[in-house]
Amino acid sequence: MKLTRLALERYGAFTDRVLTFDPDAALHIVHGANETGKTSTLSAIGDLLFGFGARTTYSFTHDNNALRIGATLHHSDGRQLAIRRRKGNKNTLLDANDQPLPDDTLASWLGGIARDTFDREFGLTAEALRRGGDDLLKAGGRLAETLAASSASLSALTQLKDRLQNEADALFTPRRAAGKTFYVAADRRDTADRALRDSIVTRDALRQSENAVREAEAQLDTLNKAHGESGKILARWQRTLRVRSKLARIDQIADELETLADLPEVTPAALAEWRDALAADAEATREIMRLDAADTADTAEIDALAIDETLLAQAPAIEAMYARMGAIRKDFEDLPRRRHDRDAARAALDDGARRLALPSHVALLDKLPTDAALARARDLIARRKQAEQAIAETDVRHARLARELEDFAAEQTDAAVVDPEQLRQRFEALGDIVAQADRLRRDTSVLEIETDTLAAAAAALDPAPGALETLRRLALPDNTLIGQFARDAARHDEAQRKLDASLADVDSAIVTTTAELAQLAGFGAMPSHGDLAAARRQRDDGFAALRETLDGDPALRDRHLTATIRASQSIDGITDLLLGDSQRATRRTDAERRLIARREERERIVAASNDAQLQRAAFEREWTRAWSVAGLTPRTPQDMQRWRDRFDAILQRLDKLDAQRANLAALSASLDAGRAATIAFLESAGRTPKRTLTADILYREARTRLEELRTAWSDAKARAAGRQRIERDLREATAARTAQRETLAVLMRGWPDAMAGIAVAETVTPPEAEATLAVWQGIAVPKASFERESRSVSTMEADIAAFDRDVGDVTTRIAPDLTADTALETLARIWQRLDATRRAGDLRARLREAVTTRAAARQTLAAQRAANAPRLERARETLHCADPDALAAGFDRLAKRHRLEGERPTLRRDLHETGDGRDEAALRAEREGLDPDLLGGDIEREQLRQTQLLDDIREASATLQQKRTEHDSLLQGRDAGAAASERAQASADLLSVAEGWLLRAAAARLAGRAIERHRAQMQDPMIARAGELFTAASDGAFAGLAIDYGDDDQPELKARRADGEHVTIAGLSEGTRDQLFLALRLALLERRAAEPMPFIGDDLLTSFDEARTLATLRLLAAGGAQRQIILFTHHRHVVELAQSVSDYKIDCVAL
Amino acid sequence: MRFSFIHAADLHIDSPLAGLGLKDRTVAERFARAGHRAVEALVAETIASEARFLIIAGDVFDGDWKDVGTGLFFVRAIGALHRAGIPVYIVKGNHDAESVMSRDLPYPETVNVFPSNKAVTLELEAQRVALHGRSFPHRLTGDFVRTYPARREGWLNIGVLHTSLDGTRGHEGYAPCSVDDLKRFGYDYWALGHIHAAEIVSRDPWIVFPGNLQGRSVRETGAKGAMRVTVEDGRIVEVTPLALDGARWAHLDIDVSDLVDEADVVARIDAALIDAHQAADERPLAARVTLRGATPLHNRLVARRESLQDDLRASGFRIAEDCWIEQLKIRTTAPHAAAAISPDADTLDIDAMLREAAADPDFAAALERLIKDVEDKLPSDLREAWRQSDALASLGDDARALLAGALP
Repeated sequence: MKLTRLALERYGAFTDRVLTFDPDAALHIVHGANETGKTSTLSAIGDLLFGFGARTTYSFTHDNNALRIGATLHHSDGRQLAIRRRKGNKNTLLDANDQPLPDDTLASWLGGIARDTFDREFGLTAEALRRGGDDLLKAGGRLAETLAASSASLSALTQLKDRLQNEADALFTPRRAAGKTFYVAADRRDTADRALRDSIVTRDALRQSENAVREAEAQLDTLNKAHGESGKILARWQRTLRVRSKLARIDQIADELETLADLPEVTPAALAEWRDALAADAEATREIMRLDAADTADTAEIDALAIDETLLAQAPAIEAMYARMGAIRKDFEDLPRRRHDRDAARAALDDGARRLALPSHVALLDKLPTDAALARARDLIARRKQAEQAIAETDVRHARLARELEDFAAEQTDAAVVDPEQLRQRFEALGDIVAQADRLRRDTSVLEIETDTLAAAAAALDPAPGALETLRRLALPDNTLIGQFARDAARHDEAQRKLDASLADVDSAIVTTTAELAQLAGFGAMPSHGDLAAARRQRDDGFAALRETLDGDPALRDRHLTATIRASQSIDGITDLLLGDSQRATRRTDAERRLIARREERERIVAASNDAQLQRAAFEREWTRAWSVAGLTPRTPQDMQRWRDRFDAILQRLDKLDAQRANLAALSASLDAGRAATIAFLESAGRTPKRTLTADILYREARTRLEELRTAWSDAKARAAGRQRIERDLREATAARTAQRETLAVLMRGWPDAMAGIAVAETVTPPEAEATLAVWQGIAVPKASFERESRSVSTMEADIAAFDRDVGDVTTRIAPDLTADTALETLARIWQRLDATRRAGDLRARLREAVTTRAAARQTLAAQRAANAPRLERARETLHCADPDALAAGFDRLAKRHRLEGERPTLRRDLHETGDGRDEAALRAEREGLDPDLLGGDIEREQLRQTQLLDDIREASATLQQKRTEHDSLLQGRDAGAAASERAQASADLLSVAEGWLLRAAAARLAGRAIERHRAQMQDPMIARAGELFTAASDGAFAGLAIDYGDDDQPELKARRADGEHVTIAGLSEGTRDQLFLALRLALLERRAAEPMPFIGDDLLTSFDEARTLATLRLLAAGGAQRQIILFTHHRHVVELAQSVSDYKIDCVAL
Repeated sequence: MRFSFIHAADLHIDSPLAGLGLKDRTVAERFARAGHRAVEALVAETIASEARFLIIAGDVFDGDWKDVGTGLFFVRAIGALHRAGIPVYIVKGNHDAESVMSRDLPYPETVNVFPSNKAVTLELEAQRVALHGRSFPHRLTGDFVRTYPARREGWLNIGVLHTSLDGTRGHEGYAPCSVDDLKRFGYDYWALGHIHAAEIVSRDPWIVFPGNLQGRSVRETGAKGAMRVTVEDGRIVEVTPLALDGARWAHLDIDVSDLVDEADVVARIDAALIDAHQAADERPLAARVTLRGATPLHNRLVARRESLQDDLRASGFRIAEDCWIEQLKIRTTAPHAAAAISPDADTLDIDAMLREAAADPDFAAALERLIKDVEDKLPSDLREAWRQSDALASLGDDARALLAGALP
C-alpha cells in the first residue's frame, strides 16, 4: 500500500494542507523545520488509517467535530482508494464525496494489523532507534533477546519476562536467602509451629503446678514463724541496750545534785539577769580603753598632712580646660587631612577651569551655569543629533530605491504573457490518461497470462476436456448426478469393505477356534457330552436286553449283564472324566459350537459378497455410460467430483476473462478519445504535437506545457508587484527626507541661546557641546568638597589657638613651675598636682569625723556601766561574795544545778519512749541476767540471722508468686487455639507465596521459550539479510553479521568486519548500534508477507555521519521497491544528500 | 405436653480455621475466636429457648487437647447450662474417642457422657424421654449401631449416634449403617453427628445431621449451628435449624462469561459480596471468589489476579471491617478465537507463539522442576497440600494467560 496524497484538511495547526507523494519514488523525504508539524503529520497518518482515538491532542485549532484528514491510497494490486477520516464514534471513514464507507473498507489494505502494531513496527523515531540500540547493548549479543529487541512486540515480551523473573527472584530462590519472601514466611511458619508446641498444656503439668504452689506456701509459712520469734528476742535485747545509758545518766544526776545542795534558791531568770549584767560591765570597760588609743593615733596623722589651698580654689577652671583636651587632640589629628582634601578639591576645580579655557577655579565658579541651562543644552544637542542621523539614513534609502527602480526599468521586457487558468481547466478535464494507459497495458498483460494459465489448467485435467473454446459446449453430467454416483460408489465400497472385514474376522475366528480345539485335544482323550449320551444309550439298550433275557439263557444273560456292566463302567468313566476336567470339557463343547456357527456365518458372507460384486459391475457400466456423451472416460466418482469442481472453476474464470476483455475494449476506446482531446489541447497551447505518439506520452507533454505556462504567468505577476512596491517606497522616502530637514531648521533656531547658557560659542558642533556639558557636570562634586573643607580648616585652627591662651593664663597664676612645651602637656601636669591635693584633703576630713564619733561612743558606754551596777550588788549580797571573779564561779554552780534538775524529767520521758512504753522498774527488771558487754554481739548475731530469714522469706514469697502465676497461666491455658490459628495462617501464607512464585517463574520460563523458539525460526534468513542491510547502513565499515557461541553454548550475535574480525555488540559505537538496530528492523519487515504497509521514520539519521547518512538513504531507497518508505527530517543536509542520489528516484516534500 | 430440646454435633473446639491471609491481627483474632463464640451461642440459645436438654452427638473436641484451656473453656461454657438446670447428653465421636482423649473433664453432674464399652439408655423421667447412645471407644468403629438398645415403649426414644451413615456424604466411614438399619430400631429421633453439612435424612422417623457448629474452611460454607427439636404429646412436630456460628464462610462462584469490562467484573463481585455479607447477619465473613466462564478478560484477570484480590479485599473492608476475601481464584477460560489472525497478517502472533511454546513437552518438564524446587523447601507437612493445589493443575495455562494479559 502506498500513500500518494495526504490532505491535512483540518488537523492540529494545519488547515487545507496537502502533501503529495510521488508513487514512482523509491524514497520520500519530508523536510520541515522544527515546529512545522512533523509530529502532527506522523500522527495524522495513524489517525487516518486506524481512526481517531477517544481523545486527541490535535484539536487545539479545530474542534473535535471539524477534524478531517484525507488521502489517496494505492494498493499493490493496482487498486486506488480516496478516503477521508473524521473524528467520531461511527461512520468515521468517508469517501471523496463525504459519504460513509464501511468500517472494514481498509481491512484488506492494512494487512490485519492494529494501530499500536503500526505505530510500533512501521514507525520509528530517533528516540526509538536509540532505545533500540540500547536494548541491543542490554541484550549483550544474546541472539534470542537481540532478535526480540528488534521486534517491538517481542521486546515487550522480553521486558515482561525480565520483570516477572525479578519478581519471582524476590519471592523465592532454591538457595535459601534471608530476605526472600518465601523464607520470611517459612520462618514465620516455623515460629508459629514452635509457639503451638510451646502452648501445649498437659494435665500432669497442671498437677505438678498445684503441688509446687502448696510446697511454696508451706515453706513461706515456716520462715515467717521463725522470723517472728527472732524478732521478739531481738526487740528485748535491743531495748535493754537502748535504755542502758539513760538509766546510768539518771543515777549520775542524782549524785551530782547532792554536791550542790549548799547553794541558795535562785530562780533561773534572776541568775540570767545577774550573769548578763556582769558580762556587759566587763565589755564596756574594754571598749572605752580601745577608743582612747584610736583618738591618739588619728590626731598624729592629721598633723602630718600638707594641703595647697590656692590650687584647690582654681579646680573648676582647670576641670573646664581638661574637658576641652579631647576635642583639641582630635583637631590636631584631623587638621592635616582636612587641609589635604581642601587642596585636592581646589586642584580639581583648577583643572576644570583649564579644560574650559578659564584662568583659575575662581573664574570657573563665577561662570558656573545653572542646572536649567545645562538641561536645555543637553536636550537640544540630543535632538539635533537625532535629526541629522535620520536625514542621513533617509538619504541612503532614497538612493538605494532609486537604483532599484533604474535596474527594474532596464530588465523590463515586452513579451506578452497569457493566463493559463482556462488551459488548466481543459487539462484537468482530460482525466488521468497516464493511469488509464498504464492500466490498459497491465490488464492486457494480466489477461494474456490468465488465458495461458487457464489453458494449462484445462489441459492438466484428467481426463482432458479439450481446448478452452470447446469447454462450454461439452455435455457433462451435473454435480447432483455425480454426487449421487459418488454416494452409491461409496456405499458399494463400504458394503464390500465390511463384507471383506467380516470374512477376515470369521476366518480368523475359525482358525483360532480350530487351534483351540487342537490344543484341548492335545491334553489327552476327552469325552464329550455326546460320548456320554452314546454311552447312556448303550447302557439302556443293555438293560432292555437284560430284562428280556433275565429268565432266559444264562449265558446270554451273563453276556448282556457283562455288556451292561461295561456300559455302566463306561458311563462312570466318562462322567468321572467330565467331572474331573469339567472346565476343559466345557471349553471343548463351547469351541465346537462356535466352530459350527462361524462356518455357517462364513458361507453367508461369501454369498453376500458375490451379490455385491454383481451390483458393483452394473454400477460401473452405468457410470461409464453417463460420460460417454461428452466423449470422456471417467475416473472414479470421487475423482470426477473434484474434476467437475475444477472444470467449473475454469468455466467461471473464462467468464471473468470475457468480462475483462470487454473492459479492456472500453478502456482502449476511452484512451483514443483522450488522445484526440490531448492533441487538441496541445495545439491550443501553442504546440504542434506528433499525432502518432501514444496517448500517455501526449498527456505528459501537455502537462509539461501547462506547467511552463503557469510558471511564466506566475513570474510576470511577481515582477509587476515588485515594481509597484519599489515606486511606492521611493515616494515615501522623498517625503520623509523633506520633513526631517524642516525639523532640523526649527531646532537650530534655539541653538545660540542654549550654547551661551553653558558658556560656549554658538558655532560649536554637537560633539563639542557634549564635551563642554561633560566638564560642567564634573564641576559640582569638587566645588562642594572645596567649600566644605575650607570651612573645617578655619574652625580647627581657631579652637587650638584659644586653648593655648587659656592654659597659659592659669599656669602663670597658680603654678608657673609646671609650664611645659605645649599647652596640652602643661595642663596635664597641673591636673596631676590638683589630684594629689584633693586626695590629702579628703583623708583629713575622714580622720576628724572619726574622732568625733568615738567621743560619743565613750559617753554611751559609761552610761551602761552605771545602769548595771545595782544588779551586781544584789548578787554579791545573795551569794555573800565581794570578789567579782568569785561571783562568776557562784553563777556557774547555780547554772549547773538548774541544768541537772531540768535534764532528769526529760530523761525519764525519753526512757519511757525508748523502752517501748515500759516503766523504769520494768526496764530495770528486763536487764536482769543479761551481760551488757556481751549483749551487742548477741544482737548482731541475731540480726544476721534475721536478715537471712528475711532473704529466705523474700525468696520463698517470690517462688510462691511465680508458682501461683504459672499455675494461673496453666489454668487459663496458653491459648493453643490462637497458636494453631496462627500456624494455619502462616501455612496458608507460605503456600500463597509459593503459588505466586511458581506462576511468575513459569510465565518467565514460557516467555523465554517463546523468544528462543522465535530465534530458532528466524535466525538464519533474518541474520543473513540483516547483515547485508547492516553492511549497507554502515557504508561498508562492516561486512555483515555473524553468530558465535559463548561459553554457555548460547548463540551470540556479533558484527563482522571486512577483515573477518568479530566485534561484540558492546564493542560497537552508539551510532553503529543504531544502524544495526535499523538493519534488524528492516530485515524483520522484509519478512512480512502481507500487503506492504509504509515504513515511516522520523529523524532517524541524526546520529549518523555524512557517509553513513548517504549510505542509509540509499539503503532506504532500495527498500522502497518492497514498501513505501517515508522519512521525516528537519535537517537540510539530509535533503541535500538525498538529492545527490541519482540511481534512485527520491521524492523531496516540503512540509 | 410440649417442650423442645437442642441437637448439636461436631463442635471441634479449638480446631483452627483454614488460613485466611489476614494481615490485621485484630480481625484475624475475631475469626480465630469464632469457634468459642459459636459454643457460647449454643449455650445461650439453649437457655434462652428454655430447651429441656441438649444433645451433642460427638466430636466436642478436635482431638486430645493441646491446651487444658480447651477443656476448661467447654466446662465453663457448659456450666451455665448446669446452673440453669438443663442436662446435657454427650457421645464421644471419632475425634474425641475414649482412646484418643488422655484426660477427663470435671463435668457437672447434669452432664451425661454415654459410656464407650456398651450402648446404654438414659432416661428423662419428667419428659418421658429415653436417650440411647454410646461413645466411640476408639477412632475406628465398625459394627457399632447394632449394639444399641431396643425401643422403650411409651417413651420418646432418641438415638444419639456419631456415624458416617452409608458413606455417601464424603466423610470417612465411622460406625457405618444404612437408613433402614436405623429405622428398624423404631426410635422417634436419631440425633446424628459426624457429617458437617446439616441434613434431615428422614422425617419418619426423624434422622437428622445438625452439621458442625462452626465452618472451618471454604469447604464448609453457609450458616452453621444446631437443630431445635419441638416435641408435643410425645411426638416430634418440628425440627428447626439454628444459625449459631461465630464467623461465616462463603464461596462466591461467579460466572463472568457475559462481561467484557473489568469494572463490571468487580461490580458483580461486589454485589455478590454484599449479598453474602447480608446473609451472614453481621458475622465476620470469609469469602472465596471463583470467577468462571469464557471471557475475553481471561488473560487480563489472570495477570491482575493479585492486585484485583487486593482491590476486592479493600471493597470488603468498605462493607464491614471483618468482611474478608479469603482468596480470588481465576477459573475463567479464554473464548475460542473468534477471528484468528490471518496467516499472512503483518503482525507477530505472540499468543500463538506462547501457545506453541507451552505445548512443548520440555516446558512441562520445566514446570515439574519448578514445582519440585519449591516443594523441596516446603515443610514436609505442607507438601501434600502443595501437590493438591489446583494452581499446579492449570499452571501452564495460567502462565500463558499471565503473559498475554500483562503485555501492553
